[in-house]
Amino acid sequence: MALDTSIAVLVVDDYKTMIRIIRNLLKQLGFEDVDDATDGTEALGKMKERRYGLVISDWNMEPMTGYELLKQVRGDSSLSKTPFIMVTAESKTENVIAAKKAGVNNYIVKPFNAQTLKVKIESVFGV
Amino acid sequence: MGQLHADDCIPVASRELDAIVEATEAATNTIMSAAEAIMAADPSDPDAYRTEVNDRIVAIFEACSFQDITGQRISKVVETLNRLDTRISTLVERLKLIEGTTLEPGESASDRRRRELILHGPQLNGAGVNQDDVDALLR
Repeated sequence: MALDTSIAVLVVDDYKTMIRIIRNLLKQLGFEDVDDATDGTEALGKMKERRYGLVISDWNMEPMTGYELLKQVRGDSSLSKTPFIMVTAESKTENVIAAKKAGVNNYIVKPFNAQTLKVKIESVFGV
Repeated sequence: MGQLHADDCIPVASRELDAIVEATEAATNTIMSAAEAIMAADPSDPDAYRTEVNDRIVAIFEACSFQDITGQRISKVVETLNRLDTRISTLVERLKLIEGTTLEPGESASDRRRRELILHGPQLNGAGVNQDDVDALLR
């Protein structure tokens, strides 16, 4: 089964450089339809306007963190099934466990490479 | 101020700065190596050339993620400096008014937010979990 790269992806990070990096890596994987947001509040607003097939989010952002965004998404019946990957420098065990309990589909610690991003996205979609 | 040292904040800030220097050096070397490899790539085989250049470009993108991590480390150091500044200012004020007063800093709003939202920031080498550990936790 091949990865469906036609889905819309939302990248959420307060560092514009990181958004550019992830966007370019996604392009390498074939994902062309990529939007971005710089914190959870902006991301949630975009998710209410448009359906995304995948959210890739940082954790540490203000005013809304990626962790709060994840909980909001899972708590909203119209968004709850959205695949959600956390990509973050938060690398304490309690972060990973908290994200797992909140319903994250996968978790990537920064710094990461293109192969890790590819494998984790494929894993989320069962490829 | 004793609390700041007891919490290891100042030595940790120093190690964060060391980590920043290491990370920027490593990223610079990766980017330069990739650029050198691109310059040296043999264009006589277009497919092989395209693959080599593409792989090196991906390596450059990956290396550029240092800016995110170092930015977060710098924020942690700035926060420590701000806390130090606040404590010193408080100490100076108290010493002017009453001698021998015990300082009770309590938890600031930013400390509470960090605790409630599990915000630790990037960890020093060996202090956080790696990707294999994360994968094991998620199984």
